[in-house]
Formats: sequence, structure tokens, C-alpha cells
Amino acid sequence: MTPTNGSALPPTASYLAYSRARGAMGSHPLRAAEIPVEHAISLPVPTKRFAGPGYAWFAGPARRAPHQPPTLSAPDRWWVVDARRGRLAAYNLVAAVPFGEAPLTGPVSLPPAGRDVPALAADLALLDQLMDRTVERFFGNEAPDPVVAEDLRAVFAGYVSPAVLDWYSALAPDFFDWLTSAEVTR
Amino acid sequence: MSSDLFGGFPGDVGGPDVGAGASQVDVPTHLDVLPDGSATVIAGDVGGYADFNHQQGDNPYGFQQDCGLVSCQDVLNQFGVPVNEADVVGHAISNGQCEVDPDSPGDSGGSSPQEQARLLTDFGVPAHVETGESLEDLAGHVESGRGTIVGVNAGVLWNDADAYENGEANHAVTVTGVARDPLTGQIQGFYINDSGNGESGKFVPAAAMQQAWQGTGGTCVVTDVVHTGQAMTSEVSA
Repeated sequence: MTPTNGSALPPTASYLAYSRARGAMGSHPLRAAEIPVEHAISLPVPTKRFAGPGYAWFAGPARRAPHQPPTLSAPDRWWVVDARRGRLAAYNLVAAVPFGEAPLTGPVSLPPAGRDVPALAADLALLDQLMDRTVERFFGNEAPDPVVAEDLRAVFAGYVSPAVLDWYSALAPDFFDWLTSAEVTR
Repeated sequence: MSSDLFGGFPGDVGGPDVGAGASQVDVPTHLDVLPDGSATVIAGDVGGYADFNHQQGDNPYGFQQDCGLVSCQDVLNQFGVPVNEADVVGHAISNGQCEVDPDSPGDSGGSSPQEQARLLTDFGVPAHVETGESLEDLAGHVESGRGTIVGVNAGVLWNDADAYENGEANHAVTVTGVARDPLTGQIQGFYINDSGNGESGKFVPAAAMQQAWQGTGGTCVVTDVVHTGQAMTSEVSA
């Protein structure tokens, strides 16, 4: 066995896949302990804003009634999972530690989904695939693959309502700036 | 069983005499027919417990996002604890067991699974949270007579794309029964009380429950004690 020191640590083998991160949050202890089941939870977004590569989420109150689009209040909490170790890196209430420079605006009324549940689930599966192909480059400080980045932007924009895109951009501006940079370098 | 086990709750509702051992369990089973015409064996007092459900939001605080708390009320009623939604919400407010936004009562009332478990325990029905469970695990809880609240995706449960959001658990319901194939024992589905739409004793096929619950984390609040067949419907007077 080769001894290591701080300057000779082996490289991290890989990062937690986006799809695994998204899937695992449902049974994460944070979810069971701190987050009301009624809250609307965002998709995770990759970011390096908080102590290295990670996945960040936000959540906030939602008003729901059967067969009506929900109304989402501005996020009231956010958290980050370390993408290398899978551990919780941060959990904050927005009232204590905001995640954006400007106050988050809300509530917002989401538009009708416009498609059925299986179609939405299929879109999420596609988003998982594209994110899985993207995050290694982002976390590894490489340039985006322009084709994948374009597809990802389209799928993300098609799934996430424009009414809440600002919340995502405020949480992970580095990722969205990086993703958009592929457009410039093509 | 001694009610000493359920001491410590400072409120005005005493702990019920509920059983912790399998020897005291009282889970009725009967042959029935599913909505699709299939024969089934149902475990659980689906019809009796249906009386404990109602449309959420019936509290004097204006809290509307309280499906978890209303599910707690349902479970407490199953165990003979005579509380109504106002009692449960009031207790949760006083004990930090739900979200409270003074500027927006309609957004208030949300609770985490652990908060739900603490509330049940406060009222004398000790409970805990399980995550990552399977349909067989869930069926086992119901068949062993335990009160059970599950976190589900409302979009899948209601076949309602507008409530699907990002596919995560965003709603809480109580599970009151399990349907198994009489010949194979395979789980055919579950019966639930849903305060989100007020439907009681609703049958949810196994595939839908797999997607709505297991696929979103398999999280449930499970009582540590079992039903002993003495549920009551009376409510606490104000």
C-alpha cells in the first residue's frame, strides 16, 4: 500500500450520478426529518458554489387540489449533497441563508402540465440521462458537449415551468452559465 | 397492556389501550372482489376506518397543507384517540410539529414524517419512520395491525399530471387495507384514506402504489403498536 499525504491524494474516481442523486433524495434522512411531505421539491441541479461539486435542491410550500395546477410559494429552504461522497453538505432555511442575491418572488401559479403522467415520467428519465452525460464535464471543469448541452437545455426548459426558472438560476448560476457557454463556443 | 407506556403527553387526551404484541392484534380479513372483478382477500378494517377520513383544511387556523396532520388524526382515531383535525393541528402548532407561516395560513400545516411520528407518539400512539421500504414491507405493517401513513406522489395517485410536479412524494395518505390474490398471495393493491380529495377506502393497484410510494422513497410512518379492535369515532369537544 502506498502511503499518501495531502499533496498526493488519489483522484476521485467519479461523481455521484445525477439520476442516483435525484432518486436517492426520496429516502434521504433529511427528507424524512426536515422537509414537509407537502412541500414542492425542485429537481436537483449541479453546482460548484458550495464547497465543491454538489447537487442542490430547493423546496417550498405548494397549494394543490386535484386536477388543478399547483401554486408554488417562493422556496423557503435549500440544501446541497456533496457529489463526491453523497453526504449532505448544507441545509438552510432561506430566511436564514438566502441562496440568491435578490429576494425570490412568489407565489407563482404553474400552467397546466399539458401531458399525462407517463409522458412526464418519460421526460424526467430523459433529463436524467442527459444530466448523467453532462455532470462529469461540469464537475471536471471541462467544456460542455455542445450537442448534449443543447438537448439538455431543451429538455430542462420543456419540463420546468418558466415561472420557476429564476429560482433554479439563482440556486446554481454557475451550472446554467456553463451550460449556456456551449452555445457560444459551437 | 399498561397505559404507562404512553405516558408523557401533556395534553388532555389519555393514551389508549393499544397492543404492541402480535397476540393482541385484531386485523379483520375477508373475501371480496376488486374493481376489475378479480377475487381478493382483504386484510384491514377498510370500511370501518373510512369513517376517520375527511377533506383536509377543516381547522380554525386556515391551514390547508396539512395532509400529514390529517393522516395522523386518522391513525389516532383508528386507535381510539378521540381527536379532530383542529386538535391535531393545534397540538402541532404548539409543539413545533408543522410549518407555520403567519402571513400565509393557507400555505401552513405541512409536516415531515418524523414530525408526524412525534405527534402520534405525543397522543399515546408511539410511531417511527421507515424509508426505502417495499410493497411487502408495507403490506406487513397493515397485516400486523399497525397504523400506517405513506408519502406518495399525488400525480400518480390521482392520475393527475398537474400534481406530478417532479415525481417526488408530495402528499400523505393512510393505508387501511391490503388486497392479496387468494390463490397466490400476491399483493394486488392497497386501500387508502386520502384527505386530499376526501376519498375513503379507495383501492390503489399495486403498480400504482409502487410508482407513487415505493418509487418516491418508500417512506412511511408506522405505529409501534397494533390495533386491538376498539377504534371509536367520537371527537374531542372544543
